[in-house]
Amino acid sequence: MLAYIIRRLLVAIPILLLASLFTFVMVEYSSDPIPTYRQQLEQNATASGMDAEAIDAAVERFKERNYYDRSTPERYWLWLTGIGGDGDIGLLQGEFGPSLRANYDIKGQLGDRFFITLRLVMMAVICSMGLAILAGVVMAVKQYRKIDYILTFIGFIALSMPVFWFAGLVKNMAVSYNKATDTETFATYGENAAGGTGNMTTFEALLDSASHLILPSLVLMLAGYASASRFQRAAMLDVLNSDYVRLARAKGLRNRTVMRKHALRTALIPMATLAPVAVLGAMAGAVVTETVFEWQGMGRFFVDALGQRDPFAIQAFLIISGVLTIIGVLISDLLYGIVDPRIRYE
Amino acid sequence: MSSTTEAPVDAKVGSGDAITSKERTQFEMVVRRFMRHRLAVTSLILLVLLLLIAFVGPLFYKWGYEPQPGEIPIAKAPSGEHWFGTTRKAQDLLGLIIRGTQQSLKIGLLVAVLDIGIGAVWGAVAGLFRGWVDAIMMRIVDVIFVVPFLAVVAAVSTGINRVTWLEIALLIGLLGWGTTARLVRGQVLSLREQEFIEAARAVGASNTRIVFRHLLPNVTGIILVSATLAIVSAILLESALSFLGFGIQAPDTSLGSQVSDGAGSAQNKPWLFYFPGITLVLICLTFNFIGDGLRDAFDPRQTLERK
Amino acid sequence: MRLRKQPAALVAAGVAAALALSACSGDDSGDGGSANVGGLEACVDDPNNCNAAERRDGGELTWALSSGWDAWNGNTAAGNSLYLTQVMAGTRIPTGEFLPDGTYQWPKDLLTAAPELISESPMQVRYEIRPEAKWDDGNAIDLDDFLFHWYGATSDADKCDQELCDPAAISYGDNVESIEEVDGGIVVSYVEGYTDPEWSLGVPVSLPAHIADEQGFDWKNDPADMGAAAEFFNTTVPTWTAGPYKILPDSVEMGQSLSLVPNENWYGEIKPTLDKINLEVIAEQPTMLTALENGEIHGSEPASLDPDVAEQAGDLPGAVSAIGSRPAWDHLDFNLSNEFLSDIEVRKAIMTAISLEDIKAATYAELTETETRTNHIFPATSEYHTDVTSELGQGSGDVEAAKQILADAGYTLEGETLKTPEGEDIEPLSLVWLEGNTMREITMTLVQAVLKELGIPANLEPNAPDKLGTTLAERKFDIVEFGWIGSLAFTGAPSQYWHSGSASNYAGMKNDEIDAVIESVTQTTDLAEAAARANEAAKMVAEQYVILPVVTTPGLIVMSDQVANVRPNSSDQIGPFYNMEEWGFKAEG
Repeated sequence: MLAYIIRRLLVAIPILLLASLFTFVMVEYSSDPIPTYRQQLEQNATASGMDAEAIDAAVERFKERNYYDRSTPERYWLWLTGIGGDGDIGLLQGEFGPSLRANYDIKGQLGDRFFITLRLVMMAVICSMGLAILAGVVMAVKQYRKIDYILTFIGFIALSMPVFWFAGLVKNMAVSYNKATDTETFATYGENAAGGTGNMTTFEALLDSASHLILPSLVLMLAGYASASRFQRAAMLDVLNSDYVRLARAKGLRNRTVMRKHALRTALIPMATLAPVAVLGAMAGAVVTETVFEWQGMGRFFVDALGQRDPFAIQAFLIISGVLTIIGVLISDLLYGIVDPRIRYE
Repeated sequence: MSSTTEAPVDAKVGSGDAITSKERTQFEMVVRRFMRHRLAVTSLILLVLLLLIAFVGPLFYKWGYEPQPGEIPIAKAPSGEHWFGTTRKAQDLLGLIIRGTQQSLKIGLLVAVLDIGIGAVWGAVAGLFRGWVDAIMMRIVDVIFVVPFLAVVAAVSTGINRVTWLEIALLIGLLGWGTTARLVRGQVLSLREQEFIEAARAVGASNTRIVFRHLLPNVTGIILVSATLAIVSAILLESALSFLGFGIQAPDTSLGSQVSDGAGSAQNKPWLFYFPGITLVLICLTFNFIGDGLRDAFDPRQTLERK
Repeated sequence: MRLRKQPAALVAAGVAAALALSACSGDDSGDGGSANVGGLEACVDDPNNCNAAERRDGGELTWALSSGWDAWNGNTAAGNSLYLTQVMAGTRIPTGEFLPDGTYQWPKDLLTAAPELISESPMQVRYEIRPEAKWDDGNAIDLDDFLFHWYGATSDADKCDQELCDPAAISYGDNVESIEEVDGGIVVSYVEGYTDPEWSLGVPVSLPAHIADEQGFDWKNDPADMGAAAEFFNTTVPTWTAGPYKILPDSVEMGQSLSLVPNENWYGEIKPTLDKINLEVIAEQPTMLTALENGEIHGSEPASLDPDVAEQAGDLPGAVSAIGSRPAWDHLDFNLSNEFLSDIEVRKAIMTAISLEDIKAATYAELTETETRTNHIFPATSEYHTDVTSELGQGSGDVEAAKQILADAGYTLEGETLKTPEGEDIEPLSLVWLEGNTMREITMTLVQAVLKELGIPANLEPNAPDKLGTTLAERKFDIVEFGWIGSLAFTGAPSQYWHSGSASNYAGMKNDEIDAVIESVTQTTDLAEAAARANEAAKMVAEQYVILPVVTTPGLIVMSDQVANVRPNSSDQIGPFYNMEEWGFKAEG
């Protein structure tokens, strides 16, 4: 088992390298920040007071600072190893490289933002998976009954709505609720109240956190819940229709026992595959959710980096999601072995 | 729709002469079961209607999707002249939605074809062979998994300045089949332990035959659910890309970009918010229900008495 | 409400540019029109005093910014940005400002009298600091601060290490000969022959030199230390202040949010009443509006005009709003290196055929009154404004006259297609603008239709934000619409826009006469004279039919009706932040 994990992690390294090379080339060839930088300086020159020589010099410094005085292969090698850099670059040295945005500390940003996103994602995944298992089992057991139709319908509606559209709806409802009750139950943007939680008591800070967490979690849950409940229903139905469950029933086992010992356990296999993937899905979903709710998490970091075509920031996000993905998939495979005794890893 | 009906056709073609009649019965059974799923049938009819409106409608409807300032009034509520109202860019909203529906449907369907064509076969083969073949194939899936959609689509879309529906569909399709592959593989890993595969092997069936004849039909349910999810998620992903500014851009349009454009108009220009939004939700809903109906109908182990 | 992304450089280099590039990333007018946007109508007739009210003591005000800042030292190219200026508005040394009505107010809190020109040649300007004007730690604002500002704004490597200093502007610093203290006043002497018509605007001082001393930088003698000090100010959260407020260091989330509390040692006439001001970045306008409706924030002035948000803002109970002009303006540039467009008769015909009235009607008209731009340098509200385009028939929409011009020049219509005098086809023109900017999209659609009437083929080619720079720099467009940020400090603009040596002369104008007039703009110490020369240059440029001004782009401001003394200010870059010390909550209610 341990050997298996180590082997898998070793295999993961070339995968990550390939993926990072792939994205690096993509990002590299999709845009050239130098003329953009120059044009912005020029456009703003009247207001900022910059003159032509200052612009030329600033562009040169910008190039050097961001290693644009080197070729693409050199830049990739530099990004990976940091050999020949200014000490702010080199993955092997624990550095992600400079951001196009001056003084934007990629590593520091990611460090802060990771836990913000984690809080949101975990909340959303736990709620959505729990609900999905429950709903999926109910739907399968009560197949073609009213409750099945209702839950199915809700699931499908959830599955068919653009997230940002749903977020708008949820926000409007929350504002109406706040107004109707004259409270501040729901906050509509940010992960904390304006001005920070510095002067609040622990309880107030917790309450503040909750009021900011609830809407984005609800929105982020939507897509995850809907697809997971469909899978759970499908898996449960497969099992319920399988020979061995019918055999178990035929043996005269009590329905409850059949459900728990045989059906549910087998039907959780696809869910086991799905769970780590759901976390990754929620991390991806957080990109839109964090944008709509102005959360300063990883997703927002990525959107900002993409929007600014900030190559090293994009790379940093990709490599971190890559590592998380590989770990997630490995866990999913291990869960497989635990839940389904027929599969063995050696 | 066309993509999902291909599955039974394949199964039929792949079978030998001797058992043709039996196959036909099975196919008829599938149709009969599908017809019993009322929501699925309603959805199918609705989808056909939507397809007609999207692809034949422009021949009969007066307005296109191009802006015609001066010709078309700006941001007016629905009227006899402009059934769904007009946009701020002096476009007829119905004309715009028709075009958007076309683009979104094309994206969804192409993605589904790629998803099934690559993902399902990939997963089945990997699960069947196991060993080093499986290891290599799934590592390739891992590489694709590691690269988030958004980054690639955004990068490429900026590289080509203005992204078209085909490019978006290819990107989503070529990079998005990993989930299906993993699911099918999981199912196959579990199936291949079962007796009927061992039996097929015992009588000397080739690997190709085992994959297409025995494994794929048995994972059809999961593939179909996965394919409908792929269509829906492709359409929704395109809308998210539009929202983030990386999707189809004017002068072309998609339902996703219309919904994201209208997302701020709910209160003061409700038609801009509701018409594209409802159309998009409707399309996604129909695919979901059709998928559900097909899943029920195809499940080879489903017995009639359960209903 | 689609999300719009700006390239990195934008935020890095001054987001004022965002204003121009992304102005109106939403859509245009609505049927409600300006009627339902309101509460600040008084700002039209009484821009300097609208929304004025007695303030009550205390209160915590949260204001949303459209974008973040990257660094703390605005004198560096890396730090210089509009949003940094806004964030620092409450803590900087008051150096004078344009009031909303366009008049300039010298800083009465800092100086005992307006800056004085004590010599024309060489130019010498004298500033007399009030003895009360001090940094919050009690250190006087003195000669050292002037020297520090100078050293940080030159290209002279003997004064400051250029790598570290990264100066945003050097035209001031490179032309200073010396700065001395004379009879209790600071005298800035410029090099022989240098003149600056804008000598009376601003005071060349910004950062606390004594803090650099305390940090151990020997900045006066060692250029490397000077550079290190500039870098220090760029990366260190300012705990010092010379303004009405100071930054709460614990509250700072870089580029995202911070809180200001009153500076108890503020020497200015008007004291703050608020307990705290929170500045928060909310990039998405609908999010901002929802937060305002929900009472989480008290106001915002978004960088671009989203008409949906503007309309909803007008309907929001408990909020007041206004749509007014901004310093930015849009224009069409014709690429002179295109063979077809290099013929002045062709450009004349196209500019005559384009109807600015139609464009206005299709874009902003129903939302707000906008000004059709008729001068490249001055908005209609400026005292120096003269109309340089209308008498030339530019933007008149006279298609028949345009056809006549083409016919006279030997172009012929074959069916509906125009042929050159040699009988050749015309390559389709590429019409370029920033992708996602709806107003420009509509404008270009109309331009395309007009070109079609003249028989000229054209393609719509919106550019992604990271592509437009390249397209402009490499002149890969035929006609482009984009924006400049204007300023009431105008004297740098002509040479940037039109000088044959300027990198931002995207049309590719080369005209010695115009160059000469442009150069003469700064060769005076009289602002009115400089304006006259700038207008002369603008007139000559207009006669070249190369750049067609289109519109002064409007913007929205919206805030809670409880807020007092916050008002739009289109004359100054920092907008409503110009009078931050007066911000507060209304006394009644």
